[in-house]
Amino acid sequence: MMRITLIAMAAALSMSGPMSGTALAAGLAVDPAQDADPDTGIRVPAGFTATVVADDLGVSRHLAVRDNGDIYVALRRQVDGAGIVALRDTDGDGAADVMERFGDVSGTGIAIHDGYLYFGGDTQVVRWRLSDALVPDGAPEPIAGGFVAQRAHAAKTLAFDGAGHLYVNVGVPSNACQEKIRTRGSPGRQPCDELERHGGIWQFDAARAGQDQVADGRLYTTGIRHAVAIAWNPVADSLYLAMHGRDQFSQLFPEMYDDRANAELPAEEFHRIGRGANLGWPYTYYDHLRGQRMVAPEYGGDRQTPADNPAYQDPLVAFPGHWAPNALMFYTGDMFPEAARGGAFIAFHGSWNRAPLPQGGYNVVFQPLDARGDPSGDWVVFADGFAGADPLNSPRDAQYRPTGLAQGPDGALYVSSTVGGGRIWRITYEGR
Amino acid sequence: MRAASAGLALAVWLAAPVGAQELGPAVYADHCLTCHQADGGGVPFLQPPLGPPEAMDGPSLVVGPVAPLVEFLLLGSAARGQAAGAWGNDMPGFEYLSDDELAAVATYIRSNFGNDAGPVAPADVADGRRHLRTAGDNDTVGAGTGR
Repeated sequence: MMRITLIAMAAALSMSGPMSGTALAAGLAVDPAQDADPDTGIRVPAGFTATVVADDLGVSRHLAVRDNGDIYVALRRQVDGAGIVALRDTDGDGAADVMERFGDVSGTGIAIHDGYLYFGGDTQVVRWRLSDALVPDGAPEPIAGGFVAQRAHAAKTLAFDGAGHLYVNVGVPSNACQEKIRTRGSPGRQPCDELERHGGIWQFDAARAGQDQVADGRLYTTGIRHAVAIAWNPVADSLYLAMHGRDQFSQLFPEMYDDRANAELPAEEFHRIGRGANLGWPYTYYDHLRGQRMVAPEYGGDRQTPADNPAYQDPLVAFPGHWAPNALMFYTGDMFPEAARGGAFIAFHGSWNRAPLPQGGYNVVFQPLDARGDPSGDWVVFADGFAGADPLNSPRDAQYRPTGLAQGPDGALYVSSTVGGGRIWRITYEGR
Repeated sequence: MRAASAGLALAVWLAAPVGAQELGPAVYADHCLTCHQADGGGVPFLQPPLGPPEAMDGPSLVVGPVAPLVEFLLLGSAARGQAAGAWGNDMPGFEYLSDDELAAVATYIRSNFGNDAGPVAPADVADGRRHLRTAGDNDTVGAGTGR
């Protein structure tokens, strides 16, 4: 706990630039003295090279890279009637030279598992069997559906274990389960009924067609506001996630939280998740400046009262408020330096909720982990510059916002951006 | 606390005519800014921009006729129904703000962020409340007590 507190406090003090004092991950940190590369728009550590794979794809969300190097990108809004972009680099220069669009879907989640391309639309997960062709044939097979349609936090993101299970993140439709949505002083619903169908990770059979959330899905973990960033850690053999913490403390409870407190709180929580875990939304939030889980103001909290329910687990790592973790990936390749192996890359889409203070996030962070999957040092900023402005005041002014992460067969790291037209980068390491 | 700040706002309003020009930005900063941002630009995919009209995805509610804007401020986006998928987040209703506060903030957003539309009067807000109560589709729209 003390270590988490120290990490969090250091994080709060250093909003841009790498953490200090971690020899282990030092080679994976950007150099604050360097500028972002004008050709790619981003900054990566010394010894690494970023290449633009493709541009102007549309509103790009998560992406997946096949063992032959083909890339599949999920689009939040269809382009020319298609919600998936398939990319192939035939001459090996890192830039895609074949682009196809397919799939009458739209959404965020996309993954390759067991020879299939899975897609997480907002109300249904489907899959296509992959062939030798870039674009799979025919209509997709429905795998898991019956999710409630919702506007906020609708993204269904995906993870797979090694035992035949699919995990689907189901975000909550509100901010904090208030009686009146996002309304000043409105109390929280007790119990929060949103947790029946939302606010958790549901487990399905990865290969069985036609499953329904209620009839077939198993609630694996609850108390999660929205975990766009979920992934299975093969080293620790466990599910991990990074959660979007709640919004708008100062607007909803100005007598307790000023603009500065609102900008910093709550932490974005990084967790290892076991079956039955509960992360405490909406009743609690994690205050990384205090190093404690706190009672939410909608449920009687006053910013000073710790939550005493031991059922709610503390995060492994607490990241600064509102950074918006949108992708999590465990590095299993051998291209990057040894320190990267088994560690976690997290893409932070970037904040809006810090206004009127400058925004934060808009970067890709590396968190070193040991063989048990526990943090083995401080996190570092692995890639930044996406926003194109520092400080960034309004999210609308951000040039790019990192949203998806994937590892290529050679160990290269791929990053997608929602905005800026939809760009994909490939980051390689030659610094040996 | 709430009554005190409302009283303060009223005192400012009564003390000097220039107070009306200060009330709009104050209400905006307190209730609107985090979501719609200091520059009125909104947040991509989540909250719409408030201006300028050419940046809007369709006709601008902000610079259009006063009555629909007042109704939207009172009821919020959820009560009006919103095209699915248009914007991710709901806007709450602000019926608890006073007529003066709502008129001031409506006037502020109509004359900033590249917008150039006429002011909204407290009487317009009172009319909006009365209309909603008469229409009977929302019996919770009482007189706003202020922030």
